[in-house]
Amino acid sequence: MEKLLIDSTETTPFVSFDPDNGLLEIEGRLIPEDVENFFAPIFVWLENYLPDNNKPILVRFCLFYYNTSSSKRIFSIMKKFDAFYLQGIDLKIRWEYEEGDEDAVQEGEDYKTFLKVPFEIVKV
Amino acid sequence: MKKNSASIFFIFTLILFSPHVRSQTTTEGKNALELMIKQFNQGNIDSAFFISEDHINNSELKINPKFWFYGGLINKEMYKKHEKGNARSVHRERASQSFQKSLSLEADPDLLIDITKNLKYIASTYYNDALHLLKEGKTTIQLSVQCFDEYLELMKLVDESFNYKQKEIEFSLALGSAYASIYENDGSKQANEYYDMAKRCYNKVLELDPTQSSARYNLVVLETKYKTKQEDLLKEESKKKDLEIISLNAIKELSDIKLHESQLKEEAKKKELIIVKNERENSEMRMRAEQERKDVLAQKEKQKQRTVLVSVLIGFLIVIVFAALVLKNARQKEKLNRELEKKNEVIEIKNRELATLSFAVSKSTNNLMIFNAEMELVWANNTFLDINGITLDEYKKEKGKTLFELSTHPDIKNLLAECISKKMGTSYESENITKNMGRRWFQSILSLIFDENDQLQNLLVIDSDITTIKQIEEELRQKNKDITDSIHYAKRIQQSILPSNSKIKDLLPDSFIFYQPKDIVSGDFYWMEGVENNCKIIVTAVDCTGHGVPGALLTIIGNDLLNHIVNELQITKPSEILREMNAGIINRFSLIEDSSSREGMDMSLITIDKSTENINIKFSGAYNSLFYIRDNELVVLDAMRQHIGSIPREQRAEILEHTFDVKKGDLVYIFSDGYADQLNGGTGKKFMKGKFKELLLDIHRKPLAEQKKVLEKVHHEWRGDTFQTDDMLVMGFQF
Repeated sequence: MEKLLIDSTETTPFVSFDPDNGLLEIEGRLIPEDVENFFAPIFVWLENYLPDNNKPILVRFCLFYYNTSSSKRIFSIMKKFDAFYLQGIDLKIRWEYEEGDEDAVQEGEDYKTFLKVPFEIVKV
Repeated sequence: MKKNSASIFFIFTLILFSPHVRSQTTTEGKNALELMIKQFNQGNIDSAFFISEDHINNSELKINPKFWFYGGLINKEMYKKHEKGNARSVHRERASQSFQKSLSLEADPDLLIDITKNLKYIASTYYNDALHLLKEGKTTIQLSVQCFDEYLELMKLVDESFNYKQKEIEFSLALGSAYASIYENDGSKQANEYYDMAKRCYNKVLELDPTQSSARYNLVVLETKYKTKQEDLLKEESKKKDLEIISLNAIKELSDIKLHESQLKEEAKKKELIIVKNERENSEMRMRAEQERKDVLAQKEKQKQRTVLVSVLIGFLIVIVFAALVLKNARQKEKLNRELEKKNEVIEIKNRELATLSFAVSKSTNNLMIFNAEMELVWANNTFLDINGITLDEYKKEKGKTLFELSTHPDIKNLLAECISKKMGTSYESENITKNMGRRWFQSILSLIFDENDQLQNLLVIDSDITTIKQIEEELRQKNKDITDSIHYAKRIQQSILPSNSKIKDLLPDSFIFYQPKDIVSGDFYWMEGVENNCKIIVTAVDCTGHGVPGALLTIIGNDLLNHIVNELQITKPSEILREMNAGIINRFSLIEDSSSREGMDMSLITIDKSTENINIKFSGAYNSLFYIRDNELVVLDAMRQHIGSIPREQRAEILEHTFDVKKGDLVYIFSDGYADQLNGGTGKKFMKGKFKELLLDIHRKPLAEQKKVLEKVHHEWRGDTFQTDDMLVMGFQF
């Protein structure tokens, strides 16, 4: 399986998924207008990949800019990961925030309460 | 007497017969009408219809309102039975005509009421069809307009108090958006017509009622779409030009070859001359040798004592030299011939290529001109002649021979001098007036061709007609200006919903408002109202989804809702106001598919109660919290973690509300997330809420006006030269 790599842009984050170590990283800015479109190919990729997968997957979110009003859309993305988890896939989400970014912490906690997938909130 | 009796007889006959004749027709008409009504009442619509058809020309029934009324009813039922939903229904039209006919004949008041009712029903079906047809796309739009016109006509006929203006506004708005959506999805050239139609509809709405702000916003949205589409077109146009330039580069190469070819010919000529010269030299030498030999013979005759050996030796030597010369000459000639042959071959190949390419040159839509080193025009392609409408010689006579005279570029001399000194081509744009095509813009690409000795040999100028691009550019500039003007107008509308300075001073004398939209109009807004003789003051800072025009549209709705909730429903409790806001947003967007989950607001709202001894503040927030600073300590009052417009059903009953009594010197801040979300110009990091709190703690003792200035300054320092991330709103109060 190839590595998944998507370069960052002004409005979308850098994405990389290395099948060898099962690490899916999403890092950078995420500005609301096209969140779902942006994530669609990632899910397609994951769906193709998952049947052959036997390693645990860690999804690392490190969004150092995302508007609080886009939280709802990010949540819908989270729910898709949650669905994967509920299908029996060994998946974990790590929500990273920078010191002092209270909004990000709260946001992470909000997600955590609504999701079944293991969800850790980590300061970086 | 005779005459009298005759007239009596005549009158008698008249009395006797005419009632009989009349009664016959009346009976027939009456019977038919009765039968028709009977059939109709029994539900035999089709046979009732045929009876009515058969008697449509009956002279008695023709003037009977009841006949026409039932004719209308029958056609109406036929319509309902056979043609329901068919916008082109014949029966409906017939029904409409019949009812109208019945209306025009004198009828009793009861019948009049029924006729009016039925016409109204028919009108309403036309209206429904009109709306329905709008949704079906461009093929039915014309029919929709017809249906609507029919509807208006009928309503005007039956209802004097009918507010047709309102209906026209509604329909024009719907029609406008139908045209707009066709425009958006239509890639053909006709699309612009739909754009114009949509624009006309919105403008009509504004003519009918200038306060229809939705039409104004629709116009802005439409024009924005138009602009984007035009930009795409422009991009395509420039792509086309790129292709042309590529083909022109090929032509340039070709002309290089052509020039090279003439050089080759020149060279070949030179070589030929050398051969001729060599031959001449040879023959001269031969002659000289002959002469010498004769001299020798003469000498021999004169000086017989000279030995034969010497003369033979000399002769032999001469023969050797001569032979060597001849041999050398032959070799040289052969070599030159070979070279020439090779060059001829090359020239032939190039000529063949030239033949194909010259076709391309003649078909090119670009002007092509070749100048010599003296800058005189020596050649131009057909396109050039087509555009200018005259031959090259005429053109030169009229305008001049050199590039300096021909070019309309104001500084062509210096431009050219620079090019030659740098030995580099250039390109420039200029406006020309041509004979056949009027005022045209050209982009000229100028290439220099140098010979082997680095002397300027030729100059190639390719003019591409860029008038269309220029026109689109100009149009875009104008459109952009129009749109910006329109948005500026929208800004004025938005400003009108914000509380006035005097109101702010009146309700909250010790306050500041830092309000900075990201674009011209804002998705953030603030609102305040004093109720119960200003004993209670309600203040809120609201952040609507999105920014720019869509955000601004939501602020208008938010403002409306707040006015309704506080002023009309007289609700002052923050949690209740938020609940009503949530209901209002859901209500407004429930009809629009998929939007209920998107459109919403974050807000913080306080109610300041001055009726008690201590001023009391109640606060509720959706996502946006409240800070207050007391004794150098910042207290955060949490907001509910839900957006207005999407609070889950089970949480609507208990929206978080805080309450606290104000102590002297307390400072209260409410805000949108824009300030803390601003990205840094250098590192790209968010300002963040933590830093925002520290900043407020640092400055809270300063006068309020000063605080606003510091917020502004810190924001600009943080932002540097990057763009503003979001709309910003910070409000501070002191009591």
